[in-house]
Amino acid sequence: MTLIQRLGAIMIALTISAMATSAYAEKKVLDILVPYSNSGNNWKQAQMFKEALQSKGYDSEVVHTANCFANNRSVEEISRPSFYFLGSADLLVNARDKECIQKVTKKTYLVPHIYRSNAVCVRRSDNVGDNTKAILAWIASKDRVTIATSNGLPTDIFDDLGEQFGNTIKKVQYKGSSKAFAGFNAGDTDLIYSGYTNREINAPNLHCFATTDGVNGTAKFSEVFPGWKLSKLVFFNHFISAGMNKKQKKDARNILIEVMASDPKLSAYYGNAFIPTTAELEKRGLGFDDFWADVVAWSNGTVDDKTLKAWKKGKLK
Amino acid sequence: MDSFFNAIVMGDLTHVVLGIAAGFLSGLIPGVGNTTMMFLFYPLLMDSSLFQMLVFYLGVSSVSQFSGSVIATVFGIPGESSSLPAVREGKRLFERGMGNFAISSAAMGSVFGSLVSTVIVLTILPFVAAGIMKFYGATMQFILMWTVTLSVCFLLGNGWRQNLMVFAIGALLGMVGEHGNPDFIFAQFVLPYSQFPVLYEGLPLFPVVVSLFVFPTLLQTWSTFKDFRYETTQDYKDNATIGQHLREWWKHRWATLRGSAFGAMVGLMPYVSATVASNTSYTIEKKRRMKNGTYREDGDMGSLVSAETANNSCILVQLMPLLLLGVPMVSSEAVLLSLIDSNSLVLNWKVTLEQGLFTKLALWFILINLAAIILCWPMVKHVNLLKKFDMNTMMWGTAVVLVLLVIYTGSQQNATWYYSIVMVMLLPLGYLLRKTETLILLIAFILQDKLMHATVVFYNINFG
Repeated sequence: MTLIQRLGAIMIALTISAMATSAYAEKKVLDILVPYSNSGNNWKQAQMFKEALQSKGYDSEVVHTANCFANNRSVEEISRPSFYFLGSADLLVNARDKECIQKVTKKTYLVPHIYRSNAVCVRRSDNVGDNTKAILAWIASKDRVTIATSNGLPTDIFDDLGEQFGNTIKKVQYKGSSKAFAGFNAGDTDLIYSGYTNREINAPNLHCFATTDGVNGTAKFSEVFPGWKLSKLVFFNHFISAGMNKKQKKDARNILIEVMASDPKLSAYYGNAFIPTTAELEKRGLGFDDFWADVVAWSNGTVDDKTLKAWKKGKLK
Repeated sequence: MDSFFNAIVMGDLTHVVLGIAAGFLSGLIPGVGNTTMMFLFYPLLMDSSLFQMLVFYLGVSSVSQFSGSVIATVFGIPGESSSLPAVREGKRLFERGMGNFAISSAAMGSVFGSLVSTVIVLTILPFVAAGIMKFYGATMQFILMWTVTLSVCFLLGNGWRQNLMVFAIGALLGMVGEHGNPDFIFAQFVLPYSQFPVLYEGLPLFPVVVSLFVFPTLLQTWSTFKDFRYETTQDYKDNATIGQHLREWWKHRWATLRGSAFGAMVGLMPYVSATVASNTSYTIEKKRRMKNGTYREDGDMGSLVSAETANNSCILVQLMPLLLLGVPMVSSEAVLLSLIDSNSLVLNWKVTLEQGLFTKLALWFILINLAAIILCWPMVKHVNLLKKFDMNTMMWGTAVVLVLLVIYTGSQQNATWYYSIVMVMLLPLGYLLRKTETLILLIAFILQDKLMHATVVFYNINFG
């Protein structure tokens, strides 16, 4: 091989390697932060998003930040474009009870994620029957009714529900929805209040007799619990960005809408549980302002305008 | 298929081999133990899968029993409290020229014990799992977590008052940061959370452990073994054939069987199972043989084999609460659990059953015990080389490696300074606690969150 041939070969090799490097450099990055437990619905969804994004050629990892404070620290220090799911109830509880404010401004807001009904369920093994009236009578027959929930819900959520039944309704909080689900299945509490997902729909020992929107043939909360002020609440989650510039934000928005609509696993996960997702929510015109309206709704009048104004700016007070 | 083989099988195999090597070292160095050894390998396991962490742990816990009994037999020092029968009987057997048979019979007994406990565990597993699904609610969790807590406070250390104090220190340190159930931030008006927001995430395990567990443990070990040398009146020799070794063990097959069954039975005792299994099995066998007139004062092989078999037999059984309930039964399991948690992995009955973890682990458990004999036995011939090592150098070498690992793990989390400051600030407390059982502190630090969760849920259901 002559010197020129050798140089030519080296040039070709360098060109190929440069092309490969630039292809790698152009690989888009989108990580998912999870400021919740690593065993519940949020964790499961984050894993599905990772797979969906990777299948679209993204470099995507799930980062378990576990709580609001650690998540905020990650958001500040992050070098890779990332997003996390945030519900209005989570923001309210974190800001009001823990003094940890998550920045949901027009700069960080991406798109709505899901609009999931909540459900109240009984155990079939308690032999209460499927009839809603019978279930309500069973609840009323008890002096004290315990309800399993995940953490991240306002402390006073069931305060006025006991008035309807003339008894005490006690919220029993678990660290994560899967722990609440396991505890309820093991007989810890009388009822469970949870997001209406495939897990709740398909559990053989569970009968979810009422949901926020009356989905899947269940009764509506507002009909079954007419005196309950928080009966209209849903898990209205949104995608919040971190470490993104304008262009990356636009890209992230588009890819999230795309995978929510087209990824088979995500579609099945939400579709089978009758959960409206991003495209549908955008069609309904829901977005940034509705997130904050939902925070007000969850607060049940406990957050004044001044505080809310500060929260909207990403400040506590 | 090839990539699957490389990623899964070879990845698992690498962890098994590493675990065997770590276990071998753990047994050889008195005072280091499995808990410290788990920390030494902590950074290597940070990106491992759940199953790989578990097989690594099985390797460490099984093989350390083997090498621990070698050291106990040849040099007369107990690597762990479960090695005391090996010190008593093994050393005497060694002095009358039967050390090679003592080691081989104990090892073969251990393999047999692992088979027996595997059969027992796989037989009862479906019933246990069904019971957990149905009954493992708040009350059971509350009882179990408090049983574990009270066990460590009343069964270990130097008296329950001191133990409770050490437990409280560990629990309080573990509570630094934000908690999900109940929702609160620990000592918000005392600790400088706003100046150091990283405190919201809690104190990192690794520097806490190095300062408050490893450092006092090394001080204790140093004061006990500072003048120790790997010395014997005679060198270890083994000229026997494999057939002779097998025949010697076969003479004690019934002692092996009794030890296996007893070890599997007591495997569920929190934090003392290996010690109880080994020592009680030894006592029972010794009494039995004294009654029969077969016990030998100058070193009794049957009692030794029974004890050594029992402590290996309980390993898989004591792993059951961890795999099914996420509750560790020994301190090294607590370290494993913290590693699993820090990798954002979940370990409970659902994961264990869905992934078929028990069946796969049982298979590896038998293979590890076989490998321990095949790989480690030839090395026993070189045990005399240990005489060249200085105990102090080994201990302080361990300490230096751990300090470097704190810095390394800190850098992996982008928190080198935080990790280093926590370690340095806690060292004086570690020094003050050097005469206490700091294992209790470690357990409290790791388990406080689960204990608090179980207690709060139980209270809210029944009284709140």
